Amino acid sequence: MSDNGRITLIFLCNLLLYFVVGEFNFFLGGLSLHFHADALLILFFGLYLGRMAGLISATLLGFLADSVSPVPHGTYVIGYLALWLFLVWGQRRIRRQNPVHVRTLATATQILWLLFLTLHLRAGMEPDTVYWQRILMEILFSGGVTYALAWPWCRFQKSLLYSLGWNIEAEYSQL
Amino acid sequence: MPRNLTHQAKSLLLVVLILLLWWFTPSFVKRWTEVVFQEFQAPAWTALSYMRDLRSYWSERSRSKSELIEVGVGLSRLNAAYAVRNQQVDSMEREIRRLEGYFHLPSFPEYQYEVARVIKRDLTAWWQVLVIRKGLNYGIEEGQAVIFAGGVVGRIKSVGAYTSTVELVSSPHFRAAGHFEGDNRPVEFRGGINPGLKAATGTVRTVPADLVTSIKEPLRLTSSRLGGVFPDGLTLGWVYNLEPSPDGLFQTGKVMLDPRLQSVREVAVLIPIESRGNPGR
Repeated sequence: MSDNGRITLIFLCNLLLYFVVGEFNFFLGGLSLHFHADALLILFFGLYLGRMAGLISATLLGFLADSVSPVPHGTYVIGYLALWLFLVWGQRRIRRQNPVHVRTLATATQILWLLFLTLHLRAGMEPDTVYWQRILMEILFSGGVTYALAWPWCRFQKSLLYSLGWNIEAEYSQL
Repeated sequence: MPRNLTHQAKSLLLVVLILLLWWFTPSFVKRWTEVVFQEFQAPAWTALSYMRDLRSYWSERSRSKSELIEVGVGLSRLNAAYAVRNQQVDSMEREIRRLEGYFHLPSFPEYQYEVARVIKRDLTAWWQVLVIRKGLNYGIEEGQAVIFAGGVVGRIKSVGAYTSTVELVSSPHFRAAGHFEGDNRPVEFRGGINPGLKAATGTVRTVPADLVTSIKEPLRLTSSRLGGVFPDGLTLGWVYNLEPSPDGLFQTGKVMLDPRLQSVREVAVLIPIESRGNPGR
């Protein structure tokens, strides 16, 4: 299988995660909770894969999320690209073999995105104590779940690539 | 280090180029991409909802015969009660038609109920929307009212070929005209900012100063036909407490919405049908 084929497979895995998270949120809705998985979706592309693969995947996932979210069109596309850039910036500032580093960077990315949404979508909301409580709850919940899932999700994708003949860990440890 | 900088600088440059490209893209192309990506994922969401239905079907199959017989008896009682109520409604409709004809009044708008399953639920701090499994293929249009057993669900925000997005009544940007049961003066209802792990709420404004409510005798806030979206008398929520507004002329209060709203699985879209005597409308 070519590299492009392997990257497409990784993209499809993230697409599957996107739908699984949607299903998870369907049940969480009953508790008035929502899990934002934006950082998880682009984490692997930002930290481990090449520039073009990351850009294209972040843009496509941004378009997908944008089309079903009632936000000004383009918010998610631009936001995902900015998050991907943040992860690229973080590539050489963390040890990508270290689970705590990866988890922390993913959580920071998720929290940054939620803070951006909070400021961007505040217009016309009349923010009060309840609003900030809800925002805090979403940040803590999404941040916590992202922290828990970030490393297993990356490890799964690395293992998948390894089983397809691409030892990505050896590649970036030589850099 | 220079290599690192080059890698990151190139990435930044590419992102800036994409953003510039996006900035200069004509709006019709942006709209097109939105529709394409929405329609692309709609079948996946629909398939997930069918899987959910299948799962509940198999879990229902595990119920014993005696349980099913019990449910059947309950349903037959309900059917009998509804049959009697249908007769009452028929006679009241005949009376309304007679009075409309007698006084030359314009008739009330009539609706066709299109029942649809909920396939996606996004209840965040910034927006509260549902996606339902029917769209343009069933004649659903933007702005139409959506209801369920507990009252108003919301209104149609956008329509796709096979799915529609509903803005919930609990959404912070939702606005509607309403009135209290037994009082025809209009009030303004707004969706609220909802705390997590609790039932959704909204707010009611411009409530006349003479209305009184308490925990023992709450006021039922119902929809009003003034907005032109909802028929009259559907439950929006219950108001347990009213406080005077700063101008002293009106009151404001918190509206407790139906807790089932957050876990609703089936809704009905009200599709207006041509009113009697106004076939051209």
